Amino acid sequence: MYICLCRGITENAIKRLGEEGVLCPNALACELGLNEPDCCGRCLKNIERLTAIAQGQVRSVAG
Amino acid sequence: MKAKEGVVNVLNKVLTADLTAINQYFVHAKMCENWGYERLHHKVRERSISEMKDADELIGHILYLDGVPNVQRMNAVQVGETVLEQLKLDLKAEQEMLTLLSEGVVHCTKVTDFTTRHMLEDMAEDVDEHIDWIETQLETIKQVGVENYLAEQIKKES
Ligand code: FES
Repeated sequence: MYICLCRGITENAIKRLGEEGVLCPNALACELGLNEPDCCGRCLKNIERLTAIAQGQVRSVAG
Repeated sequence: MKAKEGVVNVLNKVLTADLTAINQYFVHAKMCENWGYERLHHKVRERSISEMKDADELIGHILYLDGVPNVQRMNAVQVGETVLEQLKLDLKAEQEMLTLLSEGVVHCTKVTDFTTRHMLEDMAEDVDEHIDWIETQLETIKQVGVENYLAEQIKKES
């Protein structure tokens, strides 16, 4: 599923980033451009969840 | 008319879920159209429009109760990448909606607002039907496989 609609990012894309070593909240936010003003801010607020997905700790959301 | 305690709050919560659902179903419908799944496109689009009618009713009722409809708030729109994901995410949204409506019905009973209660009960009935429809689709997919199911969706509704 799409995790971030502002950036059009899927769950798998975030997992892939994690595999490439983008694992901490700051790096993820930066890599995905979540600090840009055209983002709604939802993902930045939920960055812990995104981080957990990158770290492979979340079972597929749409299971 | 002055609202009973907490009723506008309940209605606004349902409205939030509803506005979210309108967008979720609408984008799912358009994705299905883009993939050529005519049948699903129509069905899901219909669903989005019926949510819009609910929003119409909710906003009207909130105004009638001298409340302010919060059209600004939305939950996260859960967009699936495939039809199967979409169905599962829509099911989740409908189940959450049903919980919200049930809580609303309980609250309205407590504060004796029977008009609002009936409205929420009608909406819950609709949600029940939709849940039933999605569960049938998921069961069919389990039985015939997703490819066969999708092949059926390409045809126009006759
Ligand atoms: S949905 Fe990710 S920043 Fe808006």
